[in-house]
Amino acid sequence: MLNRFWKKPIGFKLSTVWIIFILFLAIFRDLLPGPAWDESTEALGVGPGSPGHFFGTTQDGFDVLAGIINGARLSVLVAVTSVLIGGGIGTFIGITAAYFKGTYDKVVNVVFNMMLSIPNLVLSLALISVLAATKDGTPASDGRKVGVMILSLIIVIIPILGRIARSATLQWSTREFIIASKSMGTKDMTIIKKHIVPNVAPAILAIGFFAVGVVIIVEGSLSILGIGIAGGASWGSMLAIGRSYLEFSPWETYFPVACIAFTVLSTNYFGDYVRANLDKRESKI
Amino acid sequence: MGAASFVVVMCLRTHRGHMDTLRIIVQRLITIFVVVGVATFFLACLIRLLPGDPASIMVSNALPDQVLNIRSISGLDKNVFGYWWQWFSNMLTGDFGYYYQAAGNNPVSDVLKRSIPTSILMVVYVQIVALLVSVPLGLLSAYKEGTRFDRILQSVLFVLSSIPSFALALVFSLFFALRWPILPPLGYATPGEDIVLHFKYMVLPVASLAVGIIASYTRLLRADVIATLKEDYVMMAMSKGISNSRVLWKHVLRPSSTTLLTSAALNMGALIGGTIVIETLFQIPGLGYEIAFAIVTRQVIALQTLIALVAFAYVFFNSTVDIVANIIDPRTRERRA
Repeated sequence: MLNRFWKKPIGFKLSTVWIIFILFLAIFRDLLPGPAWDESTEALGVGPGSPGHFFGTTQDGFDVLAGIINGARLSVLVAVTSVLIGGGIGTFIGITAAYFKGTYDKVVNVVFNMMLSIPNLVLSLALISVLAATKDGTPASDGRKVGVMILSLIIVIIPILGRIARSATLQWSTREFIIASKSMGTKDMTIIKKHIVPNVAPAILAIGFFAVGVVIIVEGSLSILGIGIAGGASWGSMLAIGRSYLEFSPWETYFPVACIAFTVLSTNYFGDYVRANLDKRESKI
Repeated sequence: MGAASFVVVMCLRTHRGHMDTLRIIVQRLITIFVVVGVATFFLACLIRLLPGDPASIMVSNALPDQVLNIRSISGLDKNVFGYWWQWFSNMLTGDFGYYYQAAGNNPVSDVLKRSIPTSILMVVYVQIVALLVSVPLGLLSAYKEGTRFDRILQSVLFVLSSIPSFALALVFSLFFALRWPILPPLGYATPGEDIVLHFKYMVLPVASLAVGIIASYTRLLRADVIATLKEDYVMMAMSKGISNSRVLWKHVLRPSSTTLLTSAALNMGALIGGTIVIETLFQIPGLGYEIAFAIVTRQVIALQTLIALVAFAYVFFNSTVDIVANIIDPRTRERRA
């Protein structure tokens, strides 16, 4: 296994290391030493490399490194849950629509096209502004915001992966071995499970990796627009606060921006890698 | 309008299969209508799902008769179908609803008059810059396929295409507006007010949006050019002794550019929505900025209209591209049949 890993291209190794690092931060956040992310210190806006504050502190005295570590957990939580759940639902709908065809497929197609006709940031904006609204107009609590954000992103992800699953299934469902299997009287669900899913899985996996990147970017964008998670609890909200002080303490913005960029880069790399190998396999057939 | 008259002219000119083209146009128009209709209905449902009364959400401490007034103007007193139909049919006649404020109602169309040209200008600049850079880059990279230059360029482009535009925007504004103040950090001037200032304000936002697009366009064009270079007629042209650059620009670029142009056109709609963050960061009063502003000030009716317009632009560009691509390259028609 390790042997095979060393033979991979350099981008693959870097991406793997980065993703493992982020997952490590997300899981072991509470065990890591260092100042708490939400406790202000006396050092206001000191630069990176200061004693005790490796990445510096914000203008309000919060430790940037601690914020990054804490933000990793939220980013991973939002990205992984929304892509897994949204991808699961989308894939199921897409595969069954393409396999059974008929009115069901037509309805699914129109609904997917409609959802995809709204740019994904706009769609999540609209959903969050409705779902997070409270009766008296006070801002929702952070916990509720995270829940609402995940729910909105699930709705955004469903058509993205659903359409890929649908078109991949359409390609495979006319292949001879599927028709042969059908004519032998195999149950539909068995055909889907044994023949369709394994063949469309790589394409969905590739887009799934891209979707993780999309989710992380949307999370950052929402915070910049002022309706995401507030108070520096996520990378996006750190840079949303930091950008007002760009002139005085740029590190406040750069570290979260770099984390977002590296994470998106890594997941996009995996997506590209899976897709490239998918084409290679197809061309061999 | 330009696209529509182009389509009509092309229909009259092609004898072969013009019935086919007409049928596709009609089909597309029906699709636009259905998708926009369903999408707006979905938005209308969302507004009705808001906890509490939308009228009192928009105007805090509204007087009872003001609430009643808002409800009757906007159609909120009807059921969800009636509400949707009033809003949708009003939009078709040019009435885009109002910003409801304690001081009075401001029509959304006033905001649209300023923000739509701004957004369109920005998107057009991004497209021009992206195409100007990516076409030569794509041709060169395909021509040098497999060399060190090509491999390094591919890696650089991959990295650039993955960096979110807001990250670039923040980096650019630190370096080119704060550290070396050669450009204004934020703000906007229309070309009518001051054309030089207009371009100065546009440089940073356009650059931050264009970088990622340049990367994806170059990769698209490179792939198509590599495929075209393997065609026999390219070999033929080369063996006639035509210079390499002439072959690339005159013989290879045109047949390889369909995918690029299609995706450039598709990007038009997506960009209008995607500029929200950039417009907010640079305080440019375009459609995206107005969407963000409507959310923050809880102007749900205006928000609903703005989002519907973005969706319409997106679907419209999609369908126009389909129709035009179909006329330019009849092979897509045969392939689909």
